[in-house]
Amino acid sequence: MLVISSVAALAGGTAAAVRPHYGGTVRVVLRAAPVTLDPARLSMAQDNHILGLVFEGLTRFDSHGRLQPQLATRWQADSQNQRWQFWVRPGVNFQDGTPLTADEVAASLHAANPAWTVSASGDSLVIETTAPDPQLPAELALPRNGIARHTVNTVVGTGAFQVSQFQPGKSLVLSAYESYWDGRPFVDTVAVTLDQNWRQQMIALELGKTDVAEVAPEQVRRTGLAGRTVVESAPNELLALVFAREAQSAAEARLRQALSEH
Amino acid sequence: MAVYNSLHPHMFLRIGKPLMLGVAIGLLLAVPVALAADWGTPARSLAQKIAAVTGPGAVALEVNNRSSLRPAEIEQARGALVSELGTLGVQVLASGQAATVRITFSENLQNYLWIAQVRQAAGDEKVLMVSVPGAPVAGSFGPSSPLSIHRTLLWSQDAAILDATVLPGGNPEHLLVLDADKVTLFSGQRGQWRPEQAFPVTHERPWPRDLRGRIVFNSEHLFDVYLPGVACEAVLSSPLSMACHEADDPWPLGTGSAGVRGFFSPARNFFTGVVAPEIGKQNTFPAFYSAAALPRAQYVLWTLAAVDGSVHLVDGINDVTAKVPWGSDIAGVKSGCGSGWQILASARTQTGDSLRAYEVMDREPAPVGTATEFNGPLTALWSKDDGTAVTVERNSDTGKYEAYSLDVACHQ
Repeated sequence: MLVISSVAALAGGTAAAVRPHYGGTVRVVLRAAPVTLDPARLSMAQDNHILGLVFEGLTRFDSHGRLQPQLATRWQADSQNQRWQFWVRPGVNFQDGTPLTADEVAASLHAANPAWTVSASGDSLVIETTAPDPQLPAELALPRNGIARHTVNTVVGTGAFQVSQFQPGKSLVLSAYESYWDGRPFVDTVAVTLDQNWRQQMIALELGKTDVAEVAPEQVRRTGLAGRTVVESAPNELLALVFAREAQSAAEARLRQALSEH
Repeated sequence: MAVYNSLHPHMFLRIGKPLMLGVAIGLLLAVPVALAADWGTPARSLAQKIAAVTGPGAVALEVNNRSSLRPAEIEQARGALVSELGTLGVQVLASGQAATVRITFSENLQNYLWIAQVRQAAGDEKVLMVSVPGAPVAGSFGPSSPLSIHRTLLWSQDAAILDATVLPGGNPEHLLVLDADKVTLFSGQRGQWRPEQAFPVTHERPWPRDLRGRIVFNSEHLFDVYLPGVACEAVLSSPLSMACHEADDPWPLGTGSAGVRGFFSPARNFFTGVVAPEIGKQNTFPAFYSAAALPRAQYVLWTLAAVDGSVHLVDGINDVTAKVPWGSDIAGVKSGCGSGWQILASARTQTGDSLRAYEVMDREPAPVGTATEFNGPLTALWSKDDGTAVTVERNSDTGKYEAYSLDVACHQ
């Protein structure tokens, strides 16, 4: 996802060597229109990057697309890449104050992935998949595998922001989580308007009604020339060709053959 | 409409609606004895301005010295002013008069200034000023005598350095380096430090972003560490250890000789603005990122780099806001030239941050020397007890944090 910003502070574009300021609201417009904030109910295809501010995974991708620890401090797999053990980061609390434990993590991941066998023991958990899965740590960085705790009326995460208001598919207001384990964020509030197409986003930006908007890849150059700050976020989309074990048609067989020859 | 004082010179009774007249007179010179005979001219000029506002009558006079003048010289200047006022029909009597005159002597880099603030009961306040051309002979900076900043690399590492300090005395020398997780004790000589011992920093709450911290020499138990919401101190046991506890103890703001401390927000990156003990009669200021103490002959001038970007100059009586292109980090350093102490202030350049020395005279910071540029952002700047400062740069080429000792030298 590419985002553009009209806020100098977001880009650090200040004249003097000033320290980061606490406070303020950042206004964001997005194409995404989630109707739920429960990570386990998100589909693989949905673009819900914004939920990464609320829910965190055991792993994450950094700005270079490299896998990094997040709620897990380390992990290891058996020789078949089918049984994975993750150690849970100590000193982390959910936004309702409940400590993050291996049991909570296991329950959250099992709800999102019923096919997995997930068991907790002490400060670690074990995930067993039905088939070898060398990409499991990367899968755990996806938004749908964000660790969530369900309470009576809501769902909470461990992220830097907590949900203040949510109108499904329309708007989302996030407020800074003071006790965030990696340091309270500088910004007080993130106000998100959902379900805004490219054109609506550009208009909002031009009219000064938003600080951050998405930008289509083909518009990056023009946007940069207009003096906007363009920031490329961590990769959040995976494009893959997935084949069944057996070819379903003669056409697919020819496609497989063509790909294998290149 | 002007409001005039009573025409009765010996009136000591309160009148129904007392007038308040405050007069501050500023600046004389750095070689006052030689120029004492010249005081009649500015005294006459300022007296005329005062009389034009107050008219003839009785006033009370207060004198403050914010200059480098000695008490005997202040008394001479006061006498000259009183004499000139008297010739204009303005009698200087004891306090409790319908009007009060407060005088402050001050100075700046270019001129001697006599400043008068006149406040009257009607609510209008007049500020009058007499400028005497000519910079002070001693303690001045001309174009050929700027200050230069010398930096010496103390230590470099991958983890963010919050502060570093070289312990006084000792052979070999010892260096303490503070980061988010520990204090590391090194021994050796500058540029050739060997790690001897590490003391872990324990804390219960998460650190705030843009973490800041100070490490300060302590003559009783070697060193103290200040972090947001946490205080640590060395324990003189064998082996040496360090104890940390959750605390909102105020941090030292300047050097050991300027004992004012500031309360640091436990969950933010700035001082709350509350200081102890108070500066003059004031103990609350706008939240600030950093402070610099400039000891003067009779007081300490404090400079605060506020969170809102303003710079406050506080002398115990006045809190003046200065407009200067400074960053968030400042520190006081002792040079021995000029007024003796200067401010190092950060600023941003195209390639990184820079530091520049400033002289503050009569609440007017002025650069004294060229800027020293760094190859990356400066993440910390603290004054040290020996009159030097320490800054930390994050090198843009290597990504490492580099702690430098800074001292300033005069070019005569």
